[in-house]
Amino acid sequence: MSLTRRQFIKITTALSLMTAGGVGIEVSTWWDTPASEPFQHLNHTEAKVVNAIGGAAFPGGDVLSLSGDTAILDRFFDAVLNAMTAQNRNLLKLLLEAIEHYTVVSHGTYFSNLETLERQTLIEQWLKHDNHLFRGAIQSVIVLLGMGYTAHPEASKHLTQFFRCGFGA
Amino acid sequence: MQTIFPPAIAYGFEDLKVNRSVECDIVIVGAGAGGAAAARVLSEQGLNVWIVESGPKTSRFRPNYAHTARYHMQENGSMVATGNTMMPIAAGKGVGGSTLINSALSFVAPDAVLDQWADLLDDPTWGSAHLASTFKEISTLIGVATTSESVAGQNNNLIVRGIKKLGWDGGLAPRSTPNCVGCGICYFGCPSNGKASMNLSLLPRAQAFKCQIQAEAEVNNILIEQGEAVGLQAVAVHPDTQERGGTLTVRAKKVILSAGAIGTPKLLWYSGLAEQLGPTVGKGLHVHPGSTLLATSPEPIEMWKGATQGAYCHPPGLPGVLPHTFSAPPEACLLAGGFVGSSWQEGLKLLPNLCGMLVMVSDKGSGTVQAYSDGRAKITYDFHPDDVQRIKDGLIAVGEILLAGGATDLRGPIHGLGVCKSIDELRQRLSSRTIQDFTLYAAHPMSTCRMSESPNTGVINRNGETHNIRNLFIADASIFPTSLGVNPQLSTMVCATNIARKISQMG
Repeated sequence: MSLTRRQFIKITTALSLMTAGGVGIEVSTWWDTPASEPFQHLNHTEAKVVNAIGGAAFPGGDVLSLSGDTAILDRFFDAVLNAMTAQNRNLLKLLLEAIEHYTVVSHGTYFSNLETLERQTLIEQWLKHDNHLFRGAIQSVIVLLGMGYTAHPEASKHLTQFFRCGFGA
Repeated sequence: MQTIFPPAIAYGFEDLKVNRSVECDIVIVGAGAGGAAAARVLSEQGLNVWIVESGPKTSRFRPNYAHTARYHMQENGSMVATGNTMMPIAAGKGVGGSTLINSALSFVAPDAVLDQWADLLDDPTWGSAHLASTFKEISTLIGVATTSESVAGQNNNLIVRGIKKLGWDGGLAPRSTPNCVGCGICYFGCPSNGKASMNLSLLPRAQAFKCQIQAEAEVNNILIEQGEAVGLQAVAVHPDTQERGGTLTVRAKKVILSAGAIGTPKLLWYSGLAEQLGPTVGKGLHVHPGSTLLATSPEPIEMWKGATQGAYCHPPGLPGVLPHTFSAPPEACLLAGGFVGSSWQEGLKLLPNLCGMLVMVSDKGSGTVQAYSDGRAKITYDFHPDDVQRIKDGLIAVGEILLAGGATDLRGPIHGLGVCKSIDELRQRLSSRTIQDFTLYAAHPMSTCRMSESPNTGVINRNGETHNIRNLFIADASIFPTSLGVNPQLSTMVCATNIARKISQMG
């Protein structure tokens, strides 16, 4: 599965302004969504990919124990998709599918099946990729998930001491 | 003089449950810097003014910045210019427009720029000598003053220290924040009413006379009769649900477009008037593009405590390059610094010590603004090679400032930059970078409906009136004949004031 140049442009456009720290979406309390509640837009595989990216990009550790793969970012992403147009939604779902299949040839398995360190290496490589459209699309997804991760109550409790506005104060 | 007033009062969606028609002297599209400044002058002249604004009737900044983006950034903060690279373009909305979510930097336009405008227009009333008193007048009304050391914060202090050590021109910046408490979140709406955004300054002054504001209403049509603008039509849009409500029809003797350099040409294209107004509507977009460097301070910085953008510099030998303080939310900072994956926790540890400075350039590159059929802005922008070099030169100057201020380890959202320990290393790594390697940002759209004496090179004449439609005026940053070179809010207010005075003299 591959994406065209135009699709990368549209994906990055759909996720624009991330580096400035804003997307106009209402995604409050997504972390409290009951597990039994079906996703609005993501399928099971796409949800796995979202959490796999989150876990690789935002691993738990000494400063903040919350790991991206347990931060329920699939629910956050689902809420984000809900705020988007159908066209952008489909493009982002396509990107998730492309990421999932990207490693089949190189690693012999799907992205979400890789070990955290392998996923981390890949994410870091992609963020340094020479193709600026590919790099931009991955960067946009990471910043978007970063918004979700940092808004999670466990992370926001830590970050509120530095940045009050973003975390409810 | 009082500079901060209780917020301007506006009608909202609920007030347009049923269709409404009004008549007035002047109707203005947009309640930002341009619209508010024009409304202040015209209402003080005794004219009956209506302002129609698409954003919310009251400021809705909390609980988080995504919320602010949703309610106070045009197109939810999702506007992107495409061209030889991709670049987000920010513009505000609401009663106050972009002044609700900017950092309130208030530079007087460079004399050389204004004098070039006067020459281009063959009109001394657009020159620096004539406009000096208006800059002073507006600066007084919105409380422009040098950022106080008591609210500067450590990010600004480090930058000022670096500038002083280098002996360069710069320091704490002029801002329109008379009651600032230094909480570092100007971009996401001032929580203390310390900033003289238009809803707290010029709009209440206008409302002391005959000025009414209809917010939460999107203008979709300019009414033209016999080659003359006679009003507009708008439809109420619910700020939460986007539900369409009733319509507002305003008939007026004069129509002023002040929807900003994205909104104004977009409206002209969307309403089908662009081609009638000549070949330049939406063309010549300038944006002051820029990029950023971060560094690590040995002392805690806590970038989010202190004036958001409280320091600036004019690096020697770099005219049109304006570095100033950078501040962004944690995850954006960490990604900009490359702290993702294996270095995420390291980044979190360093977060309190990160400092930053951005550079913006007065651009030779340009772009276009049109409208998609669904009303969104279609924006293109192509970088000029000189601008790319000036961004690099500006970042090297920024690096010098940060290192001179005591920071180490320069890094930034630039592909292939890595961590630079010295200016030589920074210079060497930047030298081979192309524009696609930079994460770019622009928040100063301008010049898309330029003032010019020829309808072939501009949309409005030197009095602010469109060449081809009588009684249709433009008063916002879209009229700038060239790129400005400094943060534009004060110049926008001054230009709109100048045009409003010309309108009132017309009778």
